[in-house]
Amino acid sequence: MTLTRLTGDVHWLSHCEADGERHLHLSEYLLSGSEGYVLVDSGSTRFREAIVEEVNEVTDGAGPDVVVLAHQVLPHKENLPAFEEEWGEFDVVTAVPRLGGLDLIADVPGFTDIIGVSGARGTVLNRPRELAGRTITCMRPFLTDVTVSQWIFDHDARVLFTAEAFGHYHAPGDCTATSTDLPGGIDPDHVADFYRDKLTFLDQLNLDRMRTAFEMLLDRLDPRYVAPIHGTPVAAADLDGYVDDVIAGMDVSGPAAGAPR
Amino acid sequence: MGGEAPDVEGVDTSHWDSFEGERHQNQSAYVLEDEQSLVFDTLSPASTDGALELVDRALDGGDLDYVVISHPEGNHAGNAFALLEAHPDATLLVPERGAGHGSGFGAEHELFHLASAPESTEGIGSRIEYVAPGDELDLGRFRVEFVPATYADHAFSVWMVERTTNTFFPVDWLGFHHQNSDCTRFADEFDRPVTVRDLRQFHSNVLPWLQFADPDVVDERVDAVIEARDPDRIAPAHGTVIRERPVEFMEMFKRAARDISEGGAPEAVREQIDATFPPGSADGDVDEPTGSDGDEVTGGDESVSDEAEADP
Repeated sequence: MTLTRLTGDVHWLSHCEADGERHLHLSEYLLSGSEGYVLVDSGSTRFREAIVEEVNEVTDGAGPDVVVLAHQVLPHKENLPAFEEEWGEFDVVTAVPRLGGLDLIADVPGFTDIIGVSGARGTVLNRPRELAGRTITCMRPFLTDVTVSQWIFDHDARVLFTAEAFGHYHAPGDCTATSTDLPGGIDPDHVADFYRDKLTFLDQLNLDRMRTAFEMLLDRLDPRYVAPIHGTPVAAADLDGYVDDVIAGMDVSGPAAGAPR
Repeated sequence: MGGEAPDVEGVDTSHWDSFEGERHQNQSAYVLEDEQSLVFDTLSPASTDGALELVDRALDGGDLDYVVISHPEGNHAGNAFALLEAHPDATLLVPERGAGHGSGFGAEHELFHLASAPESTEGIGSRIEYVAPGDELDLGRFRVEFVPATYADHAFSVWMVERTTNTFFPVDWLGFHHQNSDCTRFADEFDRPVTVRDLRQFHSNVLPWLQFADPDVVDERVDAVIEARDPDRIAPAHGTVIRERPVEFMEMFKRAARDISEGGAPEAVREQIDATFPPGSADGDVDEPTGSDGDEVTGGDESVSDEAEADP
């Protein structure tokens, strides 16, 4: 069983891919609202059957009313067509490229087909919205790889969902553990390895500014959890130390792997 | 390379990529054809028929030997399998590993359905080969080399250079929007020349981390690319081909990146947070905004002055 109740109305669907002694989370989160269910990310097709089974268990077979994509690329979006076959129509809320004041999904015919998320509606970034009876703000991430990404803050549960940011690997056996379940906390090496694999630009970041931005945001949100798609949910009590590990992990030295040769 | 880009069958290209009504953004792939042939990137899956037609027209009846995807994003890799189906003898070349600072995650190719299976005699996997910086292909008149991607959004990325024409293919880097009158022109032929502002607008969106970049380090990295590549032409995925003064575009990027990095200053970040999450708003008791939908609170390009800047 990979279904974990994170808070009273937030379930964590934990799935992961193994690379030897390192595992990578590809999680989804299911939020119960007064008017239905919100699924954060659709997940990889490699875990489709398990995801469907777990969503059915929580929703009593009804499926999600809204799917909010943290990323608009593989593997985050690739179960959408199968989910529609399984449960019928639902809303898809996805990050779209930011081009001045232009609402690409509303104003550009066929744009959702072009980005491969047919029928999606775009996120109104940085404003609270009611989704299935929950108050949710999607924000432009402070840290991401691809631009078609968003951080998702659920005001009701005070959980911040992220994708690449705040991610990390984990050890075999820790696949369903949150940060509070790990006696020694999240392994800083798993944090550093993840960032160094996933983000190409670490050597060009101003990490002091990055840290300040993280701290200001977390201070304002005071989240109960930061819940990444690619990592273990981090509880509030562990966040200060975790941010330290994230900043330390992003601090690369020596010649950049991406530098011309 | 280059040349006229006809309408894409089945896709209303007059609208899909417009910006502020009069500005467009390229989605480009490039075909190199001589004794052997190669297509670099595959365009969006929303324009499969058009992409296949364009590749066929560029090949003029010839065979396609290599389909290269710079990175596994839909608008770059979305027609890879359709091209392989249309060209059964073609080999798919994908980045071998991430362009980041680590060793890479071993199952990444599986997650993107790009796992190579050289021991197999059938299936897509048998037609996938990995390429890494330093790998070269001799196509006859053209010689391509894959090089590290210094500015990539996706970790699994690779850039390419073509030695005979000294053309540099930087994928998502050095893109820019253009007026709708300039869609099939080279950058030096534009009615409205490319400016620093254009590069700033494009890259603040495509490389959002530049908000938190150290501009002095960016300068160093760009200078290293200039020294290593020193191209005669630049062929980006999201801009038209740059034939004149290509290094000046890279210099303009340095200025654009410096501007974008102002958005990461603590006072600018504080402004973003205050606007998105006013004090006391993080709990569930918040009001939905009554303003117009689609407004964004932004840093990056909107946080700096908007005046047009000098041509390259």
